[in-house]
This record gives sequence, C-alpha cells and structure tokens, in this order.
Amino acid sequence: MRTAASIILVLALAFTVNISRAADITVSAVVEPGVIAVGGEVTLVVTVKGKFRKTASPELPPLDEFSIFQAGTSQSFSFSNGQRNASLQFTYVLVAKKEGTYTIEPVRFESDNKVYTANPVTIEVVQASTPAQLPTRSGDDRGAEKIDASIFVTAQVDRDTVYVNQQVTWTLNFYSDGRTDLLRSPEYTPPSAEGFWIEDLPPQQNYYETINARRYLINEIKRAFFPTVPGEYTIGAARVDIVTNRTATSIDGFSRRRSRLFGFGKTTSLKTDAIRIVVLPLPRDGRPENFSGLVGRNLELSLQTDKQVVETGEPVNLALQVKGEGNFKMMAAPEIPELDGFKMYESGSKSDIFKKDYIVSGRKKSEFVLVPKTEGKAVIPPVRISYFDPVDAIYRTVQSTPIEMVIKPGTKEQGGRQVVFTGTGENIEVLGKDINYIHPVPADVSMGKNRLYRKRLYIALHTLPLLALVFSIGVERRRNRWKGNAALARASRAYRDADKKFKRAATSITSGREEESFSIVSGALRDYLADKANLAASGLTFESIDDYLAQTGASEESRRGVADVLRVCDRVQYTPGTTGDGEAALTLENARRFVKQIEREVG
Amino acid sequence: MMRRPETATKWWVFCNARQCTVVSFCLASSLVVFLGARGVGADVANVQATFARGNSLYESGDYDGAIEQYRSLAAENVVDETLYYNLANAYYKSDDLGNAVLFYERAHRLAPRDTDLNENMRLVRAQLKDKQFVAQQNQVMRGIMWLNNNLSTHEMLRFASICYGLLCMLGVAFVFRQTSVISRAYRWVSILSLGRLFGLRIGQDIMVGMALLVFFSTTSSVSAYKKVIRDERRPDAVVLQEEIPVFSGPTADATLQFKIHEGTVVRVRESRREWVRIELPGRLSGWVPAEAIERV
Repeated sequence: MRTAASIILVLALAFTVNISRAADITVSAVVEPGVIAVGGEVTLVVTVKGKFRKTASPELPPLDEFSIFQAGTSQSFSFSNGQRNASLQFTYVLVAKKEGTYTIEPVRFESDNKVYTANPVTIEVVQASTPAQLPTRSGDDRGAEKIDASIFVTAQVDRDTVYVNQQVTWTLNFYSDGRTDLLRSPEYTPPSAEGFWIEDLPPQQNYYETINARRYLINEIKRAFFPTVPGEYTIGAARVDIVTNRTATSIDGFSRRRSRLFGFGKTTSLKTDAIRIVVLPLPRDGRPENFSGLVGRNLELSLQTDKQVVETGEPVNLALQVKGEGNFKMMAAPEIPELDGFKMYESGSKSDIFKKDYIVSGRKKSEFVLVPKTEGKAVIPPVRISYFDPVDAIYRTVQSTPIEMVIKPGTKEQGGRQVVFTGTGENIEVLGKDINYIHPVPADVSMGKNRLYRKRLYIALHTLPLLALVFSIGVERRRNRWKGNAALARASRAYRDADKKFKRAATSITSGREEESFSIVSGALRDYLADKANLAASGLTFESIDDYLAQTGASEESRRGVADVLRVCDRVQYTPGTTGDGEAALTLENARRFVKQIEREVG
Repeated sequence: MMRRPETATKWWVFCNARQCTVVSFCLASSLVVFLGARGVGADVANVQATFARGNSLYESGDYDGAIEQYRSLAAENVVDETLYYNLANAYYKSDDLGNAVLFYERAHRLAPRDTDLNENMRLVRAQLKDKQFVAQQNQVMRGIMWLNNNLSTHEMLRFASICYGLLCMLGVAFVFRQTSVISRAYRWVSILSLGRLFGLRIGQDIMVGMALLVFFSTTSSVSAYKKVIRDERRPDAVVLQEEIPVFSGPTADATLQFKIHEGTVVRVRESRREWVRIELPGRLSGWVPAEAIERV
C-alpha cells in the first residue's frame, strides 16, 4: 500500500512539474551559522525557484573539509498570472572536519540543458575549545541519552498545578539533527487526556536550536488543555511515528529514491512522557454571589443598544458582549435580568475563539430585542459578571455601564414600519399591529364534550343507507324475475288486489249498499283465485275452483267455505231482496278469512 | 287443470320500486339532517352570563379577571371555539404566551377557518422563541391538505357521512336507473353532470358520480379517523413554562440535550411517571417534566 502510494506520489509530482515551462530559474544558497567549531554542524539550504520542467537535485561542489548529510527536501507550488511557479528547497547538514575559512563554490542546478548556479557562501570553522556563536533558544534539562540521539521528542507543560478551567499549554518538540534520513514526514498522534477540554494551538513552529554543539531542527506543536473538574489528571503520552532509511546514512540518491518508491524503511515510534496535572478547585473565599464558574483574565463587558430614543412598541436591539482570555466555549451566555417596562426576546448569541500567542481568548455576544411597553425615561441597569482570575488567584467583577433610554408615545405597538400597497397609488402605512379583538358571546354555546362519533344513534344511522341500498337491490332483482314470469307476478299481487276489493265492499256495506257488496266480494274472490291459478276469471266454475284448491293442498274447510261464499253471493245477485240482516258483513268476513286461510295453506 | 305458481308470496312484494326509492331517499336525508344537529345544554343562560362578564372585564382591561371568568366556563365543560379564542386573547394580553398558544390551538381545532383566530396565531407564533419548531406546510401540501386543514373533526365527520349517504343514494338510483322516476329525475339533476356533456348514458354517469363519491368518502373518512384519534389521544402539547430543559432520559440526572421555550408545540410520544417524552420537528426528542407542558 505504501509502495503504491509512493509510486502515485512520484508520478503525480513528475507530471505536475513536467507541465511547467523552463524559464526564469533562480538558485540561491544560504548557510547558518556562518561560524562553527570543529565537529559542529552548519546547515546549507539550497533554494531553486522558477518554472522548470523536472525535478533534479542540485549538484554540490566538492567539500572535502566537511561530512555531508541531506536533511530533507521541501517543495511548494504557486500560481501567478496563470502560470505555475515551483520552489524546491534542499537542506544539507555539513559537519566540519578541521578549522579554517572555506568558500563553497556555487551550487549548480541543471534544467532543460541549461545550468543555473547559486551564489558562493563562506563558512568559518574555529577550534572546538573556542566557544562558537551557538544560538540557543532556551536552557534545557533534557536527558543525555536524548541529546545524544539524532531524533527525539519531548513534551512539557507551562504549569502542572492549575485551577479548574485554567489553561495548561502543552508543547511537543520534535528534534531532528538531519543525520537520520526520514523517508516520510513524521506522523503525530496527540495524547489522550480525560477530564480536559482541549484546543489545538496553531501554527506549528519550526526553528533551529543548538544543543551541545549539535544543531537540531525542531518542530513544535502546542495544545491548550482546560481541566473541567478538580483532582489529579494525566496528559498521556503523545506519539510520533517516523520512517527512516534502513541502509543509507549518507547521501545516496539512488538508495533513497528506491526506499521511497518501494516503501522500504524502518518505522519507529517516539513517545513523550505522560504529564501529571494537579487541578485545584476554585477557592470558596471571596466568591461573589453571582459567580457562575467563569475562569479567565482581563475580561471586559459591554452593553449596547442600537438606539436610545424609541417609541413604545418599537423594537430595540440590545447586545451584551464579554471578551478576554479564557475558554469561551465553556462559558454560559451572560444573562440580563428582567427589565420592567420592556418585553424582552432573545435574538441569538455567538462566540468567537482566538488563539493569539498561544493563549486561548474569545468573545461571547448575546443579542436581545427589547420592546418598550410604557412611555417615559427608562434605564437599563448595569450587567455584572464575576470571574476567577487564576493567575492572581482572586475573584474579579466587571460590569457594564447603565444605558438611559427615552421612550416616546408609540405609533406602533409591535414590529417594524410596514406599508400596504393598495394599488391605487395611495399607500397606507401600518402604524400598529395587535391581535384581533375578542368575539361576542355566542348565541349557541356547546356544553360538554359534544363528540358526534360517540353518539350511538349517529353510528346506527349509518346502517340505514346501506340497508336501503341492499333493499333496493332485492326489490330490483324480484322485479326482474317478475318480468319473465307473468304467472308469478299475478300470484304475487293476488292477495293485495283482493284486499283492496274487500275494503271497497266494506265501504259499500257501511254506506247501506249491501247488495252491491256481494257483487264486489264475489268478484274479489274469483279474481284472487284466477290470479293464483293464472287463469281468466270469467272462465272459473265451482268445479275448476275446487279442483285448483284440492290440487294446491287447500283444506276441506277452505274449499267448502269458498264455495259457500260464492253461492251466497250468486244467490243475492240473481234474487235481489233476499238478504238477511248482517248477511253482507258476515259474507265479507268469511271471504276475508278464507282468502287468508288459502294464502297460508297454498302460499 | 289449474297449476300452482312457482314461488310463495313474501312481505316485501307489496312495495314497488318507486316506493323503495322514496324510502331510501328519506332515510339518507334523515341521516344528513341528523348530522347537522347540535346539542345545546340546559343552563346556556348561566354560561352566557359568565361569558358576558368575561368579555366586559376584557374590554375594561382586566385581563386576569377575564381569564378567571373564561376558565370557570372551561372548567364547567363548556367546549366552544369563541371561549377558547377569547381566553387565548386574554392570556396574550397578560404576556402569557404559553397559555395563549394552548387556547388558540384548542380553538383552532374547533374552528380552523376562523380568520381572526388564524391571524392571531400567526402573530403569536412570530413572537415565540422557538420559531423554528412551528410546523410549516408548503404550497403543494397546503393544496392537497386543504380540506383536512379547513374542517374540524365534527365537520369532517359530517362531510364523510354525507359522502357516504350520497354514495348509497346514488347506488339506489343506479339500481332503479331504468324506472320512470329515476329517468325523470335524471333529466333535471344531470344538468349539473359533466357526464351528460360527454354523452354518457344514465348508468355510466351515475357510475362516474359513485366513483367520485367513493374517493371523497374514503379520503374524508381517513381524515376524520385521524382527527378523532388526535382528539382522543391528544398527542400535541404546549410548553407553558418560560424555559424547560430537555433531557436524554426521564430523570434530572440525565444528559441535558437542549432547551425549549414557552409556546412551543410538541408531540408527546410516551409518558412515564412524572415525565413525558416529546418530539419536535427535525427528529429532536427528549424527556421533560410532565407539569411543564399541557396537552392541547
């Protein structure tokens, strides 16, 4: 995987560089320091700038008085006027073998068959006993075994006893004297640290430092740790993984390229020591009542409004800002007490973090909208914030200045100025906006939980339309059956028709036309039997009626009764004036009874 | 020789098709008329007197007094959109946005088309701290859900019942489409029918009408069902306290996730002892004390 990545990287670099046109190339050489002791080191940096086709190593002049080690290559690209400019920097470490003043001949760089040369540089090598001008950044107490190493890492903190929420600045230094050839950039794994809020502190610094006459390139990484609770905690070990060349310890371009291409090399993990931090609780003595746990230094508080003269109902923007050193990400938004005569709404808050000079500082801004409710003069009282200063170990309180406001009678109750476009050229300015007014007492007030779906009658009524539909379908089917069966239709209607005629006969009796009723009863009975038998009524005789009734299973009583009724009716019709008292009603009653009996027996 | 007819006579043979149609129509109509009825309580006069006192107090600027009168009516089981509307107005005037939203929401369930109410709700929502949690519908969804948004539970139930009754009536008309009664009626009723313009026969025209009614009765029934479930289970609630913390579990020791403010409408998903799990738009959810909210 590493081999493939290396090949891709090399090809990508070759391609990107090849597309540049060779022109305007400058080569420069710098040595630092200019004076060293015998056995000491000097760094030679050769920089090639411009537009060139391919990468090539500069050619160093013969340097017999020095041992030469390559300390790394860096490259960068930039675009200018649509063209790509490359900058290659080659770093060499030269170890002086003997004293003297040496002028390094110009370094050569070849591109597109043209040779470019750098400026010559001079190095003065003095006796080892003579203190050379060795620039050192600080006095170190690093262990001898580390100092003797070519590459090592250290970690330290600026303080190991802090208060809760006080910044601890942790620094990792990666030392490299250039004698070890690194095939890749070191990979840094930050330390684990429970109980801390962590902030990275860019930028990463690179500088040189001379320790025991050996010059180191130091990569420095910083982080800020904010302990969240009192106790003893540990910032764990950080790890730096490096890949070094297994074989070559001096300049050997071929072996280095081969190692980079095919992923050869030895991986080594360098670890820093874990660091114990004692976190003190914030002191109880002198703690203000309004203290909310804020820890910082040099805090400033400001309270501002965008206007001091407003009308009632007119919104005013109020901004409360706190800034200073401290961890503002953990800081609660400052609160403003309830203000009499104002409606107050939060309209947002934001916080910014700064890391200038590796000290975490910030700014927290809370914004509110105030809507004055009553006219007159109003004062927004000062807002106070208390915080703990961990350096001086005391509590401090800062406060804003009060703001005086003049509230005039309002033409607007809420919201901003609003104009309604009427479309007639005359626009109307909306001066106030309020809720719509209450409604009058309704004439019909619903009492109780008037829930329709809980009423049984409502649910039951839903079955009626469905029943009506089912009933209609049944009726229609029956009607269709009747259409093709006249006998069935006559038989089905026979009883209903007979009953109607019986009612007419009853009406005749009631009105004193008794003899007429016999005729009606006789007709009703004959028509009924004709319909049931699907025969013509005029063709019915006593015999055919009796045969039909016998055939259909009517009882003897029914057969005899029907015959008796018909005989009585015939007698009265043919011999008028022979009717007795109540005979008409009796005959009608018998006729009804026997028809019902036949309907039951015959069906 | 006489022969016996094929089948026996039954009771329903005495009705003809015309009578059946009339009976069906009357039954369906009676249903519709019944659905329009509203119950009126016995002591309406007392209720109206208290209501009028509340209105008077409101007009004189005594909003707390008005709230007291209105709330006494609500405690007596008076369920009325005007009462809730006026009560919400009084709460708004008393700077109690939580209760104002609560009673506007209750009034809106009963009278969703009330323009005064809708304008007031918009105004109050604009003043809420948690405006981002106010449910919004886009134009397309508003169009699709127009009927659902503009009818109360009872109105939707009535609409569904009317669609169902009309569907059955059209079914009866379809069954008797060949009778003279239906044919004559169709000549007049079908003036409103598009099917007649397109040359559909009476049977086809009725079928198209029935298909439309099946659609409307189905959708309105589903909508009504959802509204009934909402009214019964009351899953929506309003935050009444100025600010309440939302925890990851039903205990104050759980992780504080975020805070919500008064007037925010939340959906209650689960209740456990004195805690309820609420849900907000954006898949936000958490536990809050039950007394901090009140169900709509």
